[in-house]
Amino acid sequence: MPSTTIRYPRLPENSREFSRDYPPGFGPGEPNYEPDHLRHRPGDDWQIGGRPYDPEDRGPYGAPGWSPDTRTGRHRRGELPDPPAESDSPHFSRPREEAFERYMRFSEPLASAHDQDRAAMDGPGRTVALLKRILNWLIAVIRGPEPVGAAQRPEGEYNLRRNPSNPPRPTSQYLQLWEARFDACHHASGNEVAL
Amino acid sequence: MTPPYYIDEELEPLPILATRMIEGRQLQFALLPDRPGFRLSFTDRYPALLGEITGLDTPTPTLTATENLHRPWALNTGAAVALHDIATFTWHHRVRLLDEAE
Repeated sequence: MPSTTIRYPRLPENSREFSRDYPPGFGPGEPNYEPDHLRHRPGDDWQIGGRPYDPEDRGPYGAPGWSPDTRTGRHRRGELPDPPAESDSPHFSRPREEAFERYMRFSEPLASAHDQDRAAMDGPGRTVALLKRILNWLIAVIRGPEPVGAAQRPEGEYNLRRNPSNPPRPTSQYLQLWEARFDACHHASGNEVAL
Repeated sequence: MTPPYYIDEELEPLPILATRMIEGRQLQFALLPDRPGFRLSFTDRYPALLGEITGLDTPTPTLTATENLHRPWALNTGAAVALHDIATFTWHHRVRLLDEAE
């Protein structure tokens, strides 16, 4: 073992555990010296660098097949935007929020009437309600069954599932891909629009 | 360069942004007006015009070899790949190269 130039017993290269033979030029104090505590040993499983594979990344400038990557920032990884912050700020516009509050305030009696229990009604009202129900039942029996198609949604402009006549304009291919990925991650209800 | 192109005709003077050796032939990349592409012309053989490479603002540029004599060489894989790469690099630096050419 070549002698160390730094005579300090606490240095790892001075301990018996790390002692080894150095090739010429790689000894302690020589230009290509590699300290033992920085060399790979069995059991080391760390990795330097490493990032997910990106098929659209054409490598560094000058590499064969290189082309400029026009994506920037988080778009480069196809990441989704941050979720909306959890706070008390309204999710809709201010007039919309106020309209909803007004609706909730004025519809309170209706809501309470809806929640009211029928059995808790007083005597005459209960009798009248019972008579109404019997009358409705009799009318339904006399009329017979309703056609099945009557309960379906109306066709035409009131059908919410129709394809809009003014679909959104086609954007760039990258944005379309991004939106498709976003829709796949966040399912919306009733997504049966034919493309 | 305006089609049709005749062999004896001199090439229209365009700003030459790069001159490179590709597979033993010296090639000039001249910026086409109003189009994302280069006119490709040789400096060391006749006819000088090779063709043009356009669509450099897209990931798949188009190489058009208009000269029949040079077409086998241009469609050779090594030359085509080198042409594509050099055209991409030159297009990336076109603003600076144009300033230097003028």
